[in-house]
Amino acid sequence: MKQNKSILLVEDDRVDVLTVKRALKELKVLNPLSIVNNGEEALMFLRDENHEHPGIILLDLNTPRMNGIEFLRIIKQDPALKRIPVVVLTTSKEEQDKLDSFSLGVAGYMIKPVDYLQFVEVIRTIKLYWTLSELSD
Amino acid sequence: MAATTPSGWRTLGRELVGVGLIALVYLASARISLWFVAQPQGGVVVWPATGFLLASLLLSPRQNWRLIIATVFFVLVVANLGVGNSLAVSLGFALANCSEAALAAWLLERFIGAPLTFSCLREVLGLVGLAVILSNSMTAFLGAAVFALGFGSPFWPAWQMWWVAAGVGMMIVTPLVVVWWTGLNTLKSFTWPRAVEAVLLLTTSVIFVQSIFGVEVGHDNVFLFPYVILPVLVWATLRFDLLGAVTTLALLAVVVVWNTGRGLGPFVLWSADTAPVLAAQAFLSVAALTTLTFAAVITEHKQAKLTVQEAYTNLSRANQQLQAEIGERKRAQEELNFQKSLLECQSEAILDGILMVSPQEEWLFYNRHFIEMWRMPDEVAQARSSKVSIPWTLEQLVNPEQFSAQLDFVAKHPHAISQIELRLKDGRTFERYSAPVQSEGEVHFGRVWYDRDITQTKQTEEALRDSEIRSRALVNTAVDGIITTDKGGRITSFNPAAQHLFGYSADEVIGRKINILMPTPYREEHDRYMLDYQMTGVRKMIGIGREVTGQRKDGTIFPLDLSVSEIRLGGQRSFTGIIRDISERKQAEANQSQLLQELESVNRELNDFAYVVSHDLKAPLRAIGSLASWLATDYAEKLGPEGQEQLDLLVGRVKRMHALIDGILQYSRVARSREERELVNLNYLLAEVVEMLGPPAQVNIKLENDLPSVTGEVTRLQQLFQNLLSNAIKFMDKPQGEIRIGSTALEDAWQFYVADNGPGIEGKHFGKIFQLFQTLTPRDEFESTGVGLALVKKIVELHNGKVWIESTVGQGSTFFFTLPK
Repeated sequence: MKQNKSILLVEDDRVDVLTVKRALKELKVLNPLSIVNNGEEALMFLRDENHEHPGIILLDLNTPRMNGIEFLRIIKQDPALKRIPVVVLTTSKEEQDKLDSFSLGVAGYMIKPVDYLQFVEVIRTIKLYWTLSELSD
Repeated sequence: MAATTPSGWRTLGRELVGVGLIALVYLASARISLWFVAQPQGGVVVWPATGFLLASLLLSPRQNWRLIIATVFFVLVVANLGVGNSLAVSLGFALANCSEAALAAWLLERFIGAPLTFSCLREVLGLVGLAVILSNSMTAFLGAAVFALGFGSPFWPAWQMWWVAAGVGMMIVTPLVVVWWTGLNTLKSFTWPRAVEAVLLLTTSVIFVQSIFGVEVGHDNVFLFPYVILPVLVWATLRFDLLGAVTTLALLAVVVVWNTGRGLGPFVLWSADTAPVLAAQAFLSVAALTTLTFAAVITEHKQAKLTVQEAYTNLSRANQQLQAEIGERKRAQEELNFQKSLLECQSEAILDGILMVSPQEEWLFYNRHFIEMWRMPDEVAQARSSKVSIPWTLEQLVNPEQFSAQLDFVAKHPHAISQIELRLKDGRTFERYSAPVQSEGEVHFGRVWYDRDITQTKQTEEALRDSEIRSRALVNTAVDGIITTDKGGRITSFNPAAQHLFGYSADEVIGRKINILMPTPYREEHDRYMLDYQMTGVRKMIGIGREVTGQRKDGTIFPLDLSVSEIRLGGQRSFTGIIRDISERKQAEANQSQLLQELESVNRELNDFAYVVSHDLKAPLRAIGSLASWLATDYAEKLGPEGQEQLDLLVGRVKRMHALIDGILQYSRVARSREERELVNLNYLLAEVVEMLGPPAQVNIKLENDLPSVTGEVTRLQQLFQNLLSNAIKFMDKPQGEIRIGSTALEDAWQFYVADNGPGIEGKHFGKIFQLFQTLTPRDEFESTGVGLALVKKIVELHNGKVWIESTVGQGSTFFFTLPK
């Protein structure tokens, strides 16, 4: 993947984390993967001087303590963080969630499919997007 | 003497003075007469003193006569003694003179009667006959005797002289004094012309008579006519009655006697031996007799004329009165005739039956209506008697004994009035009224009976009373409060329910304003409202039911349902208000609305719950699915074909559960989200849906007519058509699928249908298919969640429509739904 930038996965479900890891491995994506459980941890990670800013954030909306929308509101106010592309990866088909997400400038909104093979397809799409899209930085 | 009182003494004094005056005048008169004897042609030939004494006696009351006569007698005796006569001669003359006047007075008083006025022939003739002739001739014997015995005079010439002198005195002086004494007041009525005429009369007569009697008679004028004095006397009598006659007579007598005594005038030549004065006196006596008689006749005539005139006046007045009375009577008769015909006319026109009965029970009068209303047979009516009609009448009555009792009563009290209600056997009711007929003088003519048919009034009255009792009972037992007011808003009735509702008794509020039942500010506004209504007729309450608030006696306020209606009775406006306490209903409404809120909140929580739960369920489900598929991939050789199949089934069930959860989410989302409603063109909407569904080629979707535009939420309407169409497509079992869509206009809604030629549904499932998670096919054949039609039903109902199905198994189903226009 792009310039070996890291990927930040905000996900509390271990199976989903496994799914993402497995799919990335299957798609031969070798970029470093950082995993945090929720929005709060994600903010701490992003604001930690020791960590480089990730090239992309995969965000689950339904996380404990601080959910994805709340997290988005904060980073999109933060000049240092607001340009990092965020792709929502969620089970929610709610219209309101989609509206809120796009209003907060997400790069994409992906539904986690039940079927693993379909899930792999989703990740493939994200990879494709991330590979082709020009990024600031 | 009886005169012992002061007034008695005064009377006596007056009488003595009167008597003294009489004596003095008598004496003076006698003196003049005696002086006259000394004249050349004289002799004792005039003696007015006797005439004066007679007049004095006639004018005096009888009891004074003795005193007058005694006084005159005494004076005469003294006077005679004074001129040198002997006592015997003096007494003789006094006796003769006094007795002639006294006798004449007595005779006149005895036979003619007092008082004498000489105004009638009988009195004049009485004076001549009784006084001058009878009394005078007798007493002349006494005087002649005194002359003969005392002076040796021959008897008959003395008698003659005495008789003539005293007689002429009586004939001229007595009437003069009497008439002047009694008729003095007639002078007062003299007018100026009459007074002038009187003076002219006296002057003329004196001059005229003087022209005859005042001349010396010679041979050449022997035919001087003494009777020319008669026209003068006639003049005096005609113009001045008795007073003129006696006065002129006395004046002329003086002139005649005076001139004759002086040797002048016609009588001087008459006789040598008879004294001319005697002749003159004979003439005068005739003139006096004639004049007095004439005057009396004239007076009588005038009196008679006056009487006749008075009688005539009386008569004509009486006549006039009589004529007026006749006219009055005639008018009264006409009036009576008019009244009678009017009465007859009225009594025929009137609706009452009228019968007048005499005290003897005969019919005096009756009108046609009386016979007709009683339906009285001819033989009863023609008897014209109550003796016949009453027994017949009693037979017609239901209550004859009451009427009999009343008949007994009016028989005993003929002046009483009566009133009774008679019920006839034929069902009619008469009101019978009777009154006595009597004049002002209480003359009893009989009794009038009036009959009035009040059957209808009676029935109306009863019906009215029944209806009033019914409505009163209704009002009194009504659960609702019923209050009536007059047009000014004053309470006129207040039923028990209203009393219970407001806590006032009827007595407390009747007559008071209705606004005492209202809380502030309605209480203050009510008067103005009523005024507004009366001025403008704009109704805010009347005829319209409203929820308002009322105030009880204890001040508590409660909600009530009020309807007011306006009633006009006999031009009077009044209002009826019906009141229902809606405290409980209000409470129930409040409870309901609270329940609804709670329910809504629970429902919302439930929806949220369904959403959250299903959302959270999906994560582990997906994990299970993923793990199962990894196991199948990673451990394929170890599992074997059996294990592989089991893992496939596991993944299949995970997918199904996922679909179910999606269904729940979709269903709950429909209830949760609300879009703005807008006008939606269903033709466009349907086209989009069909495109989205992408139906297989063998299914033909046909729009049978242009669909209308309806007001609704776009997304839901899409879901509605989408579910119906996808169902039809999904279950299509025919090689050539046919789906028809169309709409028809109902009165206030559109009715749509989606028809297919699919498998159809049995009637017993029609209710079930619209329930959540109900499917009719095995899940392994059709992956169906059973959410679609439940969603359809929910959407239609959210749009206030209805949905139903008609279907024939094997031929197809038609789904109908309505959406409001």
